[in-house]
Order: sequence, then C-alpha cells, then structure tokens
Amino acid sequence: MAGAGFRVALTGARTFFGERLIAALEADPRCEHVVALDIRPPESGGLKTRFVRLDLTNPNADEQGARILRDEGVDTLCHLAFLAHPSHSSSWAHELEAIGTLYVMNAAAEARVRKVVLRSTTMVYGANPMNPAFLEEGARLRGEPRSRWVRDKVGAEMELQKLARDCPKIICTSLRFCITLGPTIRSWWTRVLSRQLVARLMGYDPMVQFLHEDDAVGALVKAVAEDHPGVYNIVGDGTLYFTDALKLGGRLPIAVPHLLGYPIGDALFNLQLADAPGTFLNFLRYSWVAEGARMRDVMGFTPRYSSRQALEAFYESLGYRGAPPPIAPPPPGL
Amino acid sequence: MTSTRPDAPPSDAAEARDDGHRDPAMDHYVDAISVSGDVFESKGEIVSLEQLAELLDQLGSAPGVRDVLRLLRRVGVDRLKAAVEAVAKSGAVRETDEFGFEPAFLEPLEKVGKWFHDHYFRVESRGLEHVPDDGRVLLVANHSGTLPYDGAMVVAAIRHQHPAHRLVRPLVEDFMYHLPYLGMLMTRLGAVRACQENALRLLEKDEVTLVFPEGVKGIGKLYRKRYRLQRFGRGGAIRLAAAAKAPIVPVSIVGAEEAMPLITKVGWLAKAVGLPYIPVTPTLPLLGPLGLIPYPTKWYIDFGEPIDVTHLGDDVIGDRVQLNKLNEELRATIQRMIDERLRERKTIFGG
Repeated sequence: MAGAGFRVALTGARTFFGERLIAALEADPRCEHVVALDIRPPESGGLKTRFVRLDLTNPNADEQGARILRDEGVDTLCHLAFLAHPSHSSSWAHELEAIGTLYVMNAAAEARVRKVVLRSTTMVYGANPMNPAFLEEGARLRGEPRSRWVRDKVGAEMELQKLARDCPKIICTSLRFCITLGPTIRSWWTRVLSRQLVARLMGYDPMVQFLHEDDAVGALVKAVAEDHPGVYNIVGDGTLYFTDALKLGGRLPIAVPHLLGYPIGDALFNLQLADAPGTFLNFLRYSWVAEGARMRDVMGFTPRYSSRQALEAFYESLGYRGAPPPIAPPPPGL
Repeated sequence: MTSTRPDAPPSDAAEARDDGHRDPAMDHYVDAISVSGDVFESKGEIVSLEQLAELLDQLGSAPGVRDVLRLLRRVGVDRLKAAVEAVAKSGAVRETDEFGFEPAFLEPLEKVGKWFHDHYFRVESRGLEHVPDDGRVLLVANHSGTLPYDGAMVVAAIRHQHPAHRLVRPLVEDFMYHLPYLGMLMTRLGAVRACQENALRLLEKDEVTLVFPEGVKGIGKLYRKRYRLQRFGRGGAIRLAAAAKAPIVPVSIVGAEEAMPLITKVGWLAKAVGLPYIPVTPTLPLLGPLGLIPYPTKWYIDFGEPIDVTHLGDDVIGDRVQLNKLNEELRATIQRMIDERLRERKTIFGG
C-alpha cells in the first residue's frame, strides 16, 4: 500500500475487456499491482498481475471477494465479469451477472475500496421508439423487457447505484459502451457483422454507433487512473444507418417483416442457429444511440476512432483473424 | 486429426485438406469468415476442369459432408461470396447528419413540394421577414388537414420564398416512429421525433424548427371543428424556446382544413394497426389511394411577429401557471391570425 501507484482488482479477468485492461495496466507505470479475479487465469498477466480464483456464482463470493480485496490492499475494483453473448442457460447467466454484481458490490463495501468501475453497455437504455435521438446518462433504463441478458445488465447498474447511495465514500463509475468493435474483440455483435447475410427488419433502419476496442480500453484505463464518479456513455463520434453499416462491409441485408422476425429469431436461437433471441431485433428496429457529450466534457475522454472508422477497422481486420470462438463459454457444472 | 476418419486417404491429399479447419466449433461458422489457406488461394481464380477433376478425385469414394462442403468452397462459394459482397458494397454510403437526415433524398422531393406549393395550393405566404436569416428559431403552427401536407408546405414556403432559403426541420408525432417505413421516411427527410431533447438539440444547432403543438388532436379534428385550435400540449413549445433561448414565430395556415376534410374517424381499427385514427373523407376510403390526394384549395401561410421568451429564463420554466398562461397567449395569437385571414378569404378554392 505504501507505493504511489494504484492497486487494481478486476473481475472477469479472462474476458476481452479484462485481458486488454490487464495488458494496459501492466504497461502503465502508474499501476502498482493487479489482482485478476476469474475462474480461469488471464493470458495477458505479467509481473504485476496476481491471479486469484473467484467464482461469482458461489453464494459466498462476497465474503471471499472482500477477503481478497483486503489482503491484496486493493483500492480500485473493476467489475468486468459480463457475458458477451446472450446465453442459453439464462439462469446461470443471471447468477453470474446480476447476483454476481451484488456480491462484487457487497465485497467492495465490506473491503472499503476507494473506487468501483463497472463495465456496462448502452443496451441498458433499450431500443424504443420513444427514445430521444441521443440518450443521455440520466435517461430511464428501459432495458429489453423480454431479454434476461439485458435485464441482468440493468440489474448490475442498479447494484452500482445502490452501492453509491449506501457508501457515499466509494467513487462509483459506470462506463456504458456502445457496440464495441475491433480486430480482437468478440461479442454477438461482432459475430452478426461477420456474416455475409445479416437480418434486418423491413421498413426499419435505425441509426447506430460504434466504438473501437482501443478506445473502450482507453476509457477503462482513464476511469481507473483518474476519479470520475458517475455514469458515462462511451461512444464513437457520429452515427450511421444500420443498412449503411452493412454496406460498408459488403454484407447483404435480408429484410424480414417484423411480425415474422421475432418468432423466427426465437426459434433460430432455441435451435442454436442464431446469435440472439428474436427480441434483440428491437436493436435493429428502434433507435438507442447514446450521447457522448458527458464523456468528452466531464470525463475529458475523446475516442480516437469515429463510429465509422471503428466499423471500417473491424471489417478490415476480419480478413486477418480467425473465425470467432464458439458461443458463450460453457457454464461450469452444466 | 484426419486419421480419426477411416475413409481418409493416407496421402498428400489428406495433408492438403488438413488446413486447420478441424475445430468442430468452426463448422458453426461456415458462413462466417474465410481464413484458411486454400480459400485464400482459390479466391478470384478460375478453377479449371482438370483441377476440378483432381479435387473430385481427392474426395475419395465415401466423402463426408464436410469434405463436400470444403470442395464447394474451393470451387465457388468464396467466389459467389465475393460477388455478393461486391453487389452489397455497390452504391455509396449515404451522407447524413447525426439524426439521419439525408439531403440527397430530400432534393427530388423538394421539387414535388415546390410544384404543390406554387401551382396546386397556390400558397400565399406573408410575414416571411419574421423568420431570421440565420440562427435558431421555433416556428409554432396550427395543424390540420388529416395528412401532414401543412408541414410540407411550410417547409416549401421557407425553402423557396424566404431570402435565405432555409431548411426547416419539422418535429413529428410519436406514432410515426412505431410504424414501419413511415418513421424511416420521416427521418431521412429531416424530420425528428417530437420530444424536448430532440427539439433542444435541433435549436442548439441553430436550425429552423417547426412544431405543431396541437399534435394529433389538431390534424385529426373533424371538419365541423375547422380552424378551432385545440389544446397546445402541455406548454412544451414555450419551455423549449425558453430553454434554447430561441424566438417563437407563430404561424397560421389557412386552406389545409378544406384540402382533406375529415368527416369521421374509425378508432377501433386504427388501434389494431398502430395509427391514431383511420380518416374518412369524402374521397378517402371510397377512391382508394386516390383519396390521399388533397383538394386544390387556396392556402395562406402567415408568419407573425416573433415572440421573445428568452428573457424568461429558468424561473418561468419552473413556474407552471405562468408557463401555461404564455402557452394560452400563443394559442390565442395564432387563433387571431387565422380568424383575420378567414375574414379576408372569399372562396375556399379561389382565395
């Protein structure tokens, strides 16, 4: 604790964001010590990193977590343990994401860490025709009522808000990333955009925005290194039509009438042939673009890639990278 | 790897096919991305018949599904994909603003609008000098005529008659954005869904913003209630102008009421399809789509003296009674402008 640098713990160390953040912190002289929490050790750990196994689906994960945080003298906790794909085992996913976040927040409160950073997504606003063209951080979190995956993300946000209310001394930061793309990240969005044929809804063409993975990691590092309490939308500059986003990559849009799209989507997801259930088509139907003014003006973070540049960088990188990995990592014990 | 299958020929051919596509998880993504060596090699080059025969030979007597798939990929699937990609990439990505407004899409339609403005409705606009040449301004107008032709004519009037040829950004009723095609169309034309956040953003970008505070109540009122202004929402226009420090220009539109006189509305059917009402005009369900054509009435659009609410500031935004009073005054102003014009007008079609 004596050193001037910060001591960071991160959950979900084996996730894309975890691996990239560890790599960035390893290279950052301001960082003194990294505690990687996950059920498998991260690959990007170096000399500063120490792996401690912590399963957030354990009923006593909060007690265990608090002990680790205190023993390691952690001052900043990054909660990154979220699934990049809608999972078929939704109750396990709920335990990990919603309840897991409750445990993480409990542990943070118990260990009196100085700061908690949550990795969230702009999908928590939900896609809705009543959304303003640019959603600000204070907007209602409608989520996606029929998707447990999105509801769990909203649940995680609620847990952070509760922590901020109960423990005013803890700096609570939530970073809501929009669709994050890049050469290495994998999520269901990257898988959708990797396909030659992409479903879209007939008569709907919302504006979409993207963030480059380097900028996502940059924002995380900034939130760890500096104190920025509150919620920030982390989004690339500019917006483009969804069909234009497909056109940039030479993807062929398949227009589906929305009345058919939802049941077909659900059926394909249940057969494990689609990346997400039918209700996710809402994200291709209505606007859910978020406003990045608070990120630029209050947090002082400006992404280096615009939405369009991030998308183009992603498409360009596809030729060089292997096929995406299988759907969600198999849940332990299932 | 290959040796696990008993039918695999133990030769170089097996080596050649062993290209790293052995991960069963990857078969899930046959359509995903082509990365393996052989696909790259065959991309864009024509496989000759000899090569094809050789490939077929390699398949052996009892090929598995995967071997056939790989052959298909080598022969043509990747080329087919390249062709599809080329088609999908053709045509430029549209130039839009952050809301999705596409000037190139509006341009041809503006000509149609101009024709309707000049020759069909023979719109007479007065007081255009009240609309500033630059800077933000909120146009507040009465809404009527079953279908929003009135909005289109205000846009056309300012675009073609105003010295600065400014582009008006209309705010549009919510229900449009629930419906397929309509919401998309409105967005491309530069309209924005009517809500405080969107409107404030437009004004802060110094746009001419057009709002119809009556909303559906105004455009969907029956012919017998013509030119009687409905409630002006909840005072959102005043709140907006005060927050954005924008002047309000009251606009009265006369002629639109008779262009599509609404006899009655069907509510129950409308609810089922997501529309606020299904209109019944003398011609609308009767003549089918032809009924959507408005009647060539003579139109008058008056732009009134700007109303300055910028000095009100935050106090008034919090003072609900005061806000409502201002809102009622604005409504009365526009009502007065309409009544004056109606007194002057002799015939509906001739003016």
